[in-house]
Amino acid sequence: MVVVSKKPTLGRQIFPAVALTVVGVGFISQLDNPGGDVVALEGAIGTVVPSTLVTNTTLAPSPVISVEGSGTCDGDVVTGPTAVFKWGSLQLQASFTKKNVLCNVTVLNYPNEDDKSLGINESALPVYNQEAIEAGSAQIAVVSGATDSWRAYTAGLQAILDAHPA
Amino acid sequence: MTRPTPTSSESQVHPLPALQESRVLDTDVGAVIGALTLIVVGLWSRHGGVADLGDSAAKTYMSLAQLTGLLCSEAGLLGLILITRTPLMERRYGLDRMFNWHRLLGEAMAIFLALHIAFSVAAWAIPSGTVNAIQSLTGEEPYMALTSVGSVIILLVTISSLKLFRNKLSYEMWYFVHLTAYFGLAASFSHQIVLGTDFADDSLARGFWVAIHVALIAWIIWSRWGRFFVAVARPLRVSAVTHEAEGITSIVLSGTHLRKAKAQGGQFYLVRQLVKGRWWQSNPFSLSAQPTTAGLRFTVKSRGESSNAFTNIALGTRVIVEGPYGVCTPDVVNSEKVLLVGGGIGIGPVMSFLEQLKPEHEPIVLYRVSSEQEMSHVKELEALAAARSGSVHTLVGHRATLKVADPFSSDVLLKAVPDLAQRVVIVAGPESMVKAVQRGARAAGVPAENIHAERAWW
Repeated sequence: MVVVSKKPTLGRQIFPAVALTVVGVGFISQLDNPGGDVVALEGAIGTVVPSTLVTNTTLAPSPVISVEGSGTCDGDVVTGPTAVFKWGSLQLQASFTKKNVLCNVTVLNYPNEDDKSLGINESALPVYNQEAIEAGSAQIAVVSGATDSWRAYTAGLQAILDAHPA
Repeated sequence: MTRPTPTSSESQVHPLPALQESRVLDTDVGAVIGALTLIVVGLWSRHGGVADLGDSAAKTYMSLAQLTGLLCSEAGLLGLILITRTPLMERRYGLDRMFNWHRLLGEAMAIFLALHIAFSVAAWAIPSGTVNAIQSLTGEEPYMALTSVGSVIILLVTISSLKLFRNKLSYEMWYFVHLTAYFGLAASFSHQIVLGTDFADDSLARGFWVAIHVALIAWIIWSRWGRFFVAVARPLRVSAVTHEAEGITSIVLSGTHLRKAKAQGGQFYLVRQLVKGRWWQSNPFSLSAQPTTAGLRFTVKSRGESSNAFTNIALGTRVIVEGPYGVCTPDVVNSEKVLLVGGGIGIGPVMSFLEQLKPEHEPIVLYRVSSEQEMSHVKELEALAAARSGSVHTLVGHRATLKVADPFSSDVLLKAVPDLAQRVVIVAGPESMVKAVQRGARAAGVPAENIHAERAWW
């Protein structure tokens, strides 16, 4: 290694580190921050029996996305809390069999105010429903480009499953 | 003995001037690495990476997969910066050190890549099982087929560079495998943008990521390939070839472009012949005489397919040189006395270094060589040393036949060079010898900053 002939000043040694740190922190603070407030769950969990279920259309301002699993959903129907996240709010309703196995998930509410959100959610949410029913849990894989919805979805579903142990 | 001699058309031969010193400091390099790490980890954290840790197993694996993937990319980016051979760093650290860091970053990248793959499979396996996870990660997910090919290439390149395998491959074979790393890195880029949620969902992060990759590609093209094409446009010609010793040949390269060149003794060039089937092979050769406008002399040992091609090179062959590289130049010596240690073909850089020293340096040369047949440039070496009030000691024979166990232990060194502690030590040769000399000189009281090593090139 070449020994620098003139000893650099302290300022010359420190300045690049300080400048680059400031730039780096500034850059990071400008990034999207979905991690910060994804799982703001609002509202209580309600359990309803199937017969008293109010029609979905009155509950949901957005088109309902639902996938039926195998098995008869003759057990509890649980409406989850509203997961408020960066792009809006997402609410799930889960149905169980008599043996308390997750058999159906209905998305009551999801961000659909702009075409981008609508497009992402309409393709991703049915996948998440399908995966959740197959897994019987909130341990599902993310769909590319729909990470924020995945975080909100799994948070909401986990809240339901926590409140309704098998 | 072939020393570059002036041709009749050139009125005056003068030594080439030295290259400019770099102003880059260690702290600058640290700041760049630190800032890039800060941004990469900050990006992961900001996008929920920390929050996901310790959440469900799927989220934890996903988060770890993202972090290791980002760190893998960071190691790759830093490794590519070294590939630019930017004079900013080369003039300060030397190309051999940069190559070494490049290798370490490559290893780090392979480790992060293995972890990234393992965590990704684990995350996908939770809902769908390992088999399905592997299926979707090697084909079904967008761009993952391409990425899988890229990953395999990167892992192969890394494995081929491990010392265990590297020694079994010829330089040419290894180099060719290594070049495919460019494709491997390019192939994996698209999945980062499309599938990696850090960039798919955040346009600012995506813009930054694309920008630094584009900037780096531009830098490589401009710095690495730009300099290559300049070298191609200014070829030198072989003006002398001399058989020096068994398997050792010296060649002199000359050309009018040398009039504007800068170089110093102790430095090396990457040399390639502009001959069909050989132009893509570059060999690192050290200068074995002070570089002058009349020519650059290299002393070459036949050690592989492509260096053999140099020991049999024809006069007049066009040769392109990239460089000079290396920071073990007479600049590291002020007015101190000097000890030069050359092992085998390492005597080349020792000679070009010696030639630029003055009588005040009272140079002592230790020439270590395993057999008399391989000794080269002995008379020239003695003349150069004598003209600088110095001396040459040679130590010939295989290690097993020597009287002492370690010819470079501090006792032995001090017996040959009693004022060793007051000297600057310059060593060039095989890695094991360089280490032995460093150890012995340190034990004899030479401060570490006064020991300068150059890896022995051919």
